[in-house]
Amino acid sequence: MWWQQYKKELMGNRTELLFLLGFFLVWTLFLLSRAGVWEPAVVIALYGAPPSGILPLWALWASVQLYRQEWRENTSYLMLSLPVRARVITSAKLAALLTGVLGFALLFAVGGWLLLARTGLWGEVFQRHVFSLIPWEYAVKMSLLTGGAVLAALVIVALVAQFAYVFSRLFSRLQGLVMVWTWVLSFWLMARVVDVGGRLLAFMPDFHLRLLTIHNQVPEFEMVTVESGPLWALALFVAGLYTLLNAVLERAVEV
Amino acid sequence: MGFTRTLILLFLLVSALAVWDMAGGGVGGFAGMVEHDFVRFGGQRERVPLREPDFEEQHSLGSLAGVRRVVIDGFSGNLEVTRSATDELSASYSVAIWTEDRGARTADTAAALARQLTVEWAREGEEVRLQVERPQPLPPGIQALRVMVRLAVPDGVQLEARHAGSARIVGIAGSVRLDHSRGEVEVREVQGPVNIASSWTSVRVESVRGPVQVDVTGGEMRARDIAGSVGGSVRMGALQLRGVEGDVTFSVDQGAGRVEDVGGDVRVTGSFGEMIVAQVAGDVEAYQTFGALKVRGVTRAADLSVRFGDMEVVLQGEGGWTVDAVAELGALETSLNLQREQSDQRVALSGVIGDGAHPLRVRVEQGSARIARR
Repeated sequence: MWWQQYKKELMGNRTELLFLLGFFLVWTLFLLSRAGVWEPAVVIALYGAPPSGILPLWALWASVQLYRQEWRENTSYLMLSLPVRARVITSAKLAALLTGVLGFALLFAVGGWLLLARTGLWGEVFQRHVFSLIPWEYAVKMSLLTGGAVLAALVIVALVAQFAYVFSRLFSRLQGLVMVWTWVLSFWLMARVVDVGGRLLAFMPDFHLRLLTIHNQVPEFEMVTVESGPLWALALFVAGLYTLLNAVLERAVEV
Repeated sequence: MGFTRTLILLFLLVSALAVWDMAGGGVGGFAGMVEHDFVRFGGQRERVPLREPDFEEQHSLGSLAGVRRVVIDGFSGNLEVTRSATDELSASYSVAIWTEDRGARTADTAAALARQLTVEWAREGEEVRLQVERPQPLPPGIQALRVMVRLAVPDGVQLEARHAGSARIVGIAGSVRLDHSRGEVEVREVQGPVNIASSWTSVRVESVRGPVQVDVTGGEMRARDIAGSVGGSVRMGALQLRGVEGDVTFSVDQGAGRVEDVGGDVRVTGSFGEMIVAQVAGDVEAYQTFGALKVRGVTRAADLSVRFGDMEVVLQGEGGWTVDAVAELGALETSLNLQREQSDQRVALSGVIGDGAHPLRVRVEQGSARIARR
């Protein structure tokens, strides 16, 4: 059932997703044609600027859209009457969104690599003496960690937006206003939970991270300690919000 | 239905709490919520090279007596200066080299490269110059080269360095002048005036007896336990001062500032950031544009201005103030017994608190101010 739901979400939003990916593909091809004509730094800046702004906005828009279309196309009754738990529906919608984000990120990475190679910046940067000192396993690990953190941040933004939309369905009037206020309220609550929860969970062991810094042309690892309390509190808040989203969808929202 | 009603009641309750919380903190409080630190770093940061160097050598330059001034000119590397156990100036240096393949041939190249590095004294009377020539560019097969110079200086010697890299100056008795870029600077337990100009850096000054002047562009400046005055500027960075016996005169442009526990007067200007001034024994003069200004624990005269931002003033102690506060296109809030005059675009508060011994001047242009007493 989950797989069918996931496919339905992907197919339901394929037009917007394909349009966005297509636009990005055309933009990348255009910039590839400018490599060697324009300054390499200009090409890379023009490549990076639109996605860094579009991706979070698209994730926010798409996360609301995934639920909004159920009400707009009168399929919300079917969604709410399906003999499955709400978590199947909500997780399928989140997974569909993440698929889009990952696809976009993959395309961005491949396009970026092509542009860096075509402009000659790849060779220039990575053939420098100091870069060859950086262990590959560290580069891969940090890339995965950074990518994971970005993905987690997008999931949180999407979850809050989805909760705000679903919660606003409990009201018969001023639904837009309720949605925006719920969004603000959720982030306020998150900040307070992280603050208080971080103190209460201060006993949790810290995370240790090796950060790469280059001092005086010599790359070094800086060992930093990250307090884990606020991160555990954040994880608990996100889990709580997800549970609440499922409960609202299952027990409160009516068509 | 019961669940829905409970949810909506909770929603209203949390909404009320949030509005109270956000309104209580004002614009700064709301911004603070947005800028909340979800990831907090703690403890001391420790640095280690990615891997041990493939080639390392140490040399001593011997000792020099009768030196009054040491100048290090244009050195790029790590610098460590400590107090000499004798009356003589001494220096040593080490060179570390990382190679690509660690083979015998590359080892020869590394050894040859180390020989090309020259570190020498040049003496002119009571002044010595440390001249460091490092080979540039690095030959093929060499990935990185690090030079570290260690100096031990006797009491009363002036130190002057133009340097790029990390610098650590600890326990010396004499003046320090550092023109520095790209790296961390630590100056600790120094008796004498300290003057640092640094860019793209992090500067830490601790336990200094003497005036301190630090100008930082792009980076942070932290100082504590200074038995003297502190002055300088920070552009595009952050300032933290705590425990200054003398006066503080500082400007922070495009960054945050925090000045606490000062024995003398404080004169600060700031823009595009938050400035916090707390526990000042002397007079306070502060001017902030495009940002928040929080002055807590005012015990004497204060002249505070803010343009395009919010201000918080907390008076403290048994003394008294003669208040003259004006807000143009802004608001003034207080629970103190002051006379209020209000027109379309101007609000003024005036009156005497306690014995009125100290003047309190507050100016707000397109912003708000809150005056309270603890």
